[in-house]
Amino acid sequence: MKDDPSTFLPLSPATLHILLSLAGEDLHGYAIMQEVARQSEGKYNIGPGTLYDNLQKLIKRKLVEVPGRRPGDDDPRRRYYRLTSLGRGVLAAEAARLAGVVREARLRLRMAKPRRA
Amino acid sequence: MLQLLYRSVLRLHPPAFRGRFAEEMLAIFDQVQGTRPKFSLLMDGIVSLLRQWALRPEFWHEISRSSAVQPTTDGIPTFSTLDAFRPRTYAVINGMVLSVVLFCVTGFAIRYSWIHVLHVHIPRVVFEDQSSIQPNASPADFRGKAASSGRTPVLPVAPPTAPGAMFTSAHPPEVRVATDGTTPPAVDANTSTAQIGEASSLSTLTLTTIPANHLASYTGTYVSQSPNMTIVIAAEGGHLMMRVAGEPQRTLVPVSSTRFVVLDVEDSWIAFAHDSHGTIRQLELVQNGQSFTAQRQ
Repeated sequence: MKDDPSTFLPLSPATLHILLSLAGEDLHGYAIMQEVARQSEGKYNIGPGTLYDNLQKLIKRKLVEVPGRRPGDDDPRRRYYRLTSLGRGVLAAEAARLAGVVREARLRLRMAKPRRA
Repeated sequence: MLQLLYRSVLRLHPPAFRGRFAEEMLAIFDQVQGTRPKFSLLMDGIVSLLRQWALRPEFWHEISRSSAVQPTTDGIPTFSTLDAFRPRTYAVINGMVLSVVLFCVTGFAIRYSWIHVLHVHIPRVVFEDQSSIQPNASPADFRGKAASSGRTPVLPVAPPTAPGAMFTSAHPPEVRVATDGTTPPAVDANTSTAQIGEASSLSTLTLTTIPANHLASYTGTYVSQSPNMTIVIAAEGGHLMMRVAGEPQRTLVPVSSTRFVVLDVEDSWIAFAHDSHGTIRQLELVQNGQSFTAQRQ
């Protein structure tokens, strides 16, 4: 029951962006911060404190795993993070939920559009 | 300067968080260019510090696997647990309460048993009337008489520690005879009374008398092998006297046909034992809680 992705919903904006950043490839912390800024077109930035606080929770919930350091990396202090299958399922469930929210919002906005006499 | 401050802020984070993420956060700080972005990171670090201590207690003591396992450098294996075990607070409190309760109950039980051992109730013992004792009666006659009458023998020949015996503890209570001097009380046809027991329990014990011509059945030399000791029992002045080498002569006051209290010696008494023919064969001398058995020669 704990592996049911719906039990993790809804996700906070920071968690959503972090999972979304890791959906493409494994990234280290600084790359995740840059990817979040790129996804939001610079409108949403997270600092290292927020990033690693969320990563700590995501690792404990087994949504993200730590494959380890890459030998050829410029900075040996960097550690890479990877989305688990559970994390991918949670991200998909959250995307579906948000899609329903967007669809509902568009429907309501269309109905509320003022009619011309 | 900012890096030093940022490093200090990271050092103040909970150990688990610091061990897992501090290096990466510092790497990000080094990678960022410009004073203003670095200052923003410093503020972010301070907010993170407050968040970790105030809102993330579940991660305070979580052991980072990478930092918990120390490699062996000198060939000596080291062991560590990968699971962060921390007893729950209420479990610790319950354990403390139970420990205190158990300690109090144990202490009370010890005190209760100690008091009740010391205050042993000594029942009143009533001996046969002097008039019913034949002049030539032996200790066996006392038993036979009681048995023939269908009553419980009033002169127990059981060991002192047996139920119903005169003294029910290893240390017989002090016997205070209502007389002065070292001579035993004058014994007449009736019985005399002595008080026995502690001052708090004034149980009375009726002394019995042994006819003068019957005292000879007790007299003789009794030898103990361990320790090597010779006890001489003699009849003088209508009373039994005890002589032990190196000690002054003592007077024995009868409390039954087989049991005598050593006068003027605290916690000391003698119990005679006889064979099936009623002949005294040995005595048991109890003195200061120690018991010596001596065979009659």
